[in-house]
Amino acid sequence: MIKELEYHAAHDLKEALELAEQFGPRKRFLSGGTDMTVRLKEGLVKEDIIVDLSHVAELRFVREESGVVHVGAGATHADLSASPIVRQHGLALALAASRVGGPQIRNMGTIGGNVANASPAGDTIPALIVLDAVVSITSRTGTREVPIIDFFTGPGRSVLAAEELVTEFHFPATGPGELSAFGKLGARQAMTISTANVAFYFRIGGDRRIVEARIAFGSVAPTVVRAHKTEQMFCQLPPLLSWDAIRGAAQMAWKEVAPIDDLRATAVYRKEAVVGLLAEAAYEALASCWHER
Amino acid sequence: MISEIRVAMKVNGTEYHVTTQTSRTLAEVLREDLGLLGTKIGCNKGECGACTVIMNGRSVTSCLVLAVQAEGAIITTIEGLAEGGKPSPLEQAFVEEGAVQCGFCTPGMVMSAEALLALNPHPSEAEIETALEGNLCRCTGYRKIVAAVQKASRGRE
Ligand SMILES: Cc1cc2nc3c(=O)[nH]c(=O)nc-3n(C[C@H](O)[C@H](O)[C@H](O)COP(=O)(O)OP(=O)(O)OC[C@H]3O[C@@H](n4cnc5c(N)ncnc54)[C@H](O)[C@@H]3O)c2cc1C
Ligand code: FES
Ligand code: FES
Repeated sequence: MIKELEYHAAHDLKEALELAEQFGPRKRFLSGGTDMTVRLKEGLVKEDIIVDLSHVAELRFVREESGVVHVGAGATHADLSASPIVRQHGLALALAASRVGGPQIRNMGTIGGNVANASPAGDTIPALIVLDAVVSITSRTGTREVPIIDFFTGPGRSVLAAEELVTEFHFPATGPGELSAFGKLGARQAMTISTANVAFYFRIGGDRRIVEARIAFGSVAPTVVRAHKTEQMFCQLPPLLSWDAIRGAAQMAWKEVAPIDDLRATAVYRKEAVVGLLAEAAYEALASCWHER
Repeated sequence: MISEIRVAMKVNGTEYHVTTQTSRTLAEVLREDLGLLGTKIGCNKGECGACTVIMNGRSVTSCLVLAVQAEGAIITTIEGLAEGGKPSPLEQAFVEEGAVQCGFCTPGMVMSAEALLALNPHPSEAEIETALEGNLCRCTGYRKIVAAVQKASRGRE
């Protein structure tokens, strides 16, 4: 049973910002509702006022402008996985979105909700981190830009103030010689929160060496984490496609993640899993990248 | 406190105005207020797909949609597929392929398949499997359901 709520639908961004300011910490936003509705049913929402953003068309877009990809907070996972722009210029994000829940969840759930939730298991988060995304946070008084890695302050917590909403994400469009990907392990194929996930970005030099690497893991720490030492290992790989070398580099992740035992998996399982996930996804991405060139 | 709201939605071609508490889901309003009992409620938390309907052209689990969010929406439920009292070709294919056992998952399966075929009339087997990923069936083992969707696909333009 859901408690009785005061409900306000915002029809455009201006109205959303006014409602956010008016109700401040007494309200909670609703976008796709895939998380909120479940929480409401479980009695986990302390706020009594809902401000519905799902009718705000201005928040739902994907576009590329002078080498930067802009994704509206209201873009759904289905929008992102089907977007030619995201597929071409930020593949990790398209792949992450395509692995969220099942089709119905992807049709409703938004990237804004996924990030605002600040769950360590949120699938789009590692993808946004390796793409070096910036979050646009807007209130009635203006917009501030926060690098995605600085957005999270703990599990379920972020820098978002009560009168602010997430309006968009933007990141440099990946081009030739750059690749990104996402891999996920769950108990079932679909419809499940990750027991572990990984995203990475590599820039490949003319000599086939990785000259820049960003790697992020989800579900293995209180927040999604970047794996700087593992990135360095990948930058030291020889310029040939070797499973053993890639697997060896991925092994560094064992040291960089701090998973816990929980209902979904044990810590040791998760550590082994992230190494395997990263090695497999990286091998596959590098193989297809070299094949093309 | 505005906890009762009037919502206008078009369901299976008919315009409805319902006054509902903000605490109710679309699944509840479809079943209890509109009497459309074909939409089932199984898990009631987005995991089984039994409550799947098509909202504005996309499959959604109606147990996760607050009824108030459906303002202005165009919705198709399982009851909206039959034409002139006859089952739709997709429903007919489910019957012919033996894709129904206890039947609890069937309305949701059919709606997910309908949403797929509307966007992609000739999906591959893998595309059918992906489209049905959000629908659980405890009885059939899924093969016959996929076969039914393939059969309906062959009959489409
Ligand atoms: C069956 C099922 C399977 C799932 N599988 C996955 C999965 O595989 N991977 C995964 O990552 N998640 C999964 N989820 C969780 C959820 O679907 C996603 O996190 C989704 O992206 C949430 O987006 P939403 O638009 O539905 O958010 P909502 O439920 O509408 O909101 C979530 C939170 O974000 C806040 N919020 C929403 N939009 C904004 C905004 N613009 N600005 C500020 N705050 C905002 C809300 O106030 C709320 O606190 C699953 C959920 C279910 C029910
Ligand atoms: S009842 Fe809605 S998904 Fe199970
Ligand atoms: S036929 Fe019984 S659950 Fe699918």
